[in-house]
Amino acid sequence: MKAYQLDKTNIAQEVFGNEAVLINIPLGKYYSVRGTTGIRVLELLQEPTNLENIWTGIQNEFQTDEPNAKAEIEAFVNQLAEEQIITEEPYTTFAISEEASIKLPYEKVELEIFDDMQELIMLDPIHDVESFKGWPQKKD
Amino acid sequence: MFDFEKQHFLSSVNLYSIGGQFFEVLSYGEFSSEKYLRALAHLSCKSVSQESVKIHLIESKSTGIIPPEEWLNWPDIDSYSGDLLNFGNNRAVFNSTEPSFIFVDYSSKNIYYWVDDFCRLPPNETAAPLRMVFHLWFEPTASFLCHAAGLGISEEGVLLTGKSGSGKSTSTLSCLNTKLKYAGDDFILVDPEQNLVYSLYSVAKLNIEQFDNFTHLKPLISNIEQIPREKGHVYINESFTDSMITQFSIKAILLPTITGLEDTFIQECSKLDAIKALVPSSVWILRSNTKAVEKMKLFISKTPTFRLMAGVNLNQIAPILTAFINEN
Repeated sequence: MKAYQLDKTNIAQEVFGNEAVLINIPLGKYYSVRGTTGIRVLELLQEPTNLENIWTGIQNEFQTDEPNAKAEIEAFVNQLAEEQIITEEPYTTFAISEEASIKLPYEKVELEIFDDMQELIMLDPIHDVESFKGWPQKKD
Repeated sequence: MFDFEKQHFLSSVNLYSIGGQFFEVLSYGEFSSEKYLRALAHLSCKSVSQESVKIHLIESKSTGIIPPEEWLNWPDIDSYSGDLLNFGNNRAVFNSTEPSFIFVDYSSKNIYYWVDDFCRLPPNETAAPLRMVFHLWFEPTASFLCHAAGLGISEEGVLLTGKSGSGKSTSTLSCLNTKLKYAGDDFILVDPEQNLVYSLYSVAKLNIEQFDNFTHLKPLISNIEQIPREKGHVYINESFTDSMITQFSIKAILLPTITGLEDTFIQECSKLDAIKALVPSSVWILRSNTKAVEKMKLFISKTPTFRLMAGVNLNQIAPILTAFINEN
């Protein structure tokens, strides 16, 4: 099974209360994750881990009798990978959190995507590395 | 490496006091440095009391001086920032669109800024000259440039920040020629350790849609022939006497929000909303990195954050902000 970790080089994140904001610097997008369950998934992804361990960790800490919970967590992690927020890491052994005596209510896990500022990246494309070669108005 | 005939091409020398430091801008070439640096005129000074940072502006078109060939053919360039990778302790940054090249030698306090043709720089550069240069210079320090407007009174003030269309620009324009003084409407310099905001640019910008609300500003627009292709530029220091504030102690960050209601009021808002409003655009316009985000987050976490709920009666905004600054 694939292992993932948050890309700490390119992703800036902040959690205040019940919401986390992630800023994907090279892609020009930012994201919001609301609710303690989604924030906990992000915490688990601070270290290399896999989907199975994330699900076990969430089951140990949250009331996951919600029928869609597992599919939701899976879709969330896949979306984080698609958005290049997490990167694939080599397999290793993972620490799993212990089952909590009092479990927290499960909250819907969702990634809200904001791409309204991508134009700032597109407007000023330094990206065209090939065109760096030479200086166009070189005076002989 | 830089043994070009400096005196032969030197056309002007200008001194500025910016963010508690002195900058000596030496221009080489036939371009009008006065025109290019016009938005910094309110920060000019006649002499310096400490060692200055030297910024060498070199126009390649009129001098024939280009960046070193080795750099132009550098094998490894960061496609996001334009940084020449594995360059050592200094910074060299390319921008292929203008084209321009910035080299910052932090130890000798010399910055070289090559531009092919200063006359062809885009309006966002002429309204905010040397923006990337200042960004690179202050990047290793605690200070940072950020995408916000600054308004102050009696050495205290607020930052207004928000996405395009949030009301930042309208709120700022509505405070011109009032008791509130203007520090900038787009980019300002923040020193979070001293809790200070420094003015960078004296230009206020208007969209054509704002002309109806601010008819008195229309005759003051310096680039009227470029409208609507460009935003209108008004040089506040030239148009309104004693209207600029060059630095102030920050009381709060305000997020303007257009309500459609009659009255304007201020209410608290979350730190996270302030991060969303201030950080992404500041980071992407300046091609910053996660370290810059950390600095901004720290600044936001210790600064009170509010929403400026801007009503349709624009005349209320300045007195409400003035009272807010005086009371907080």
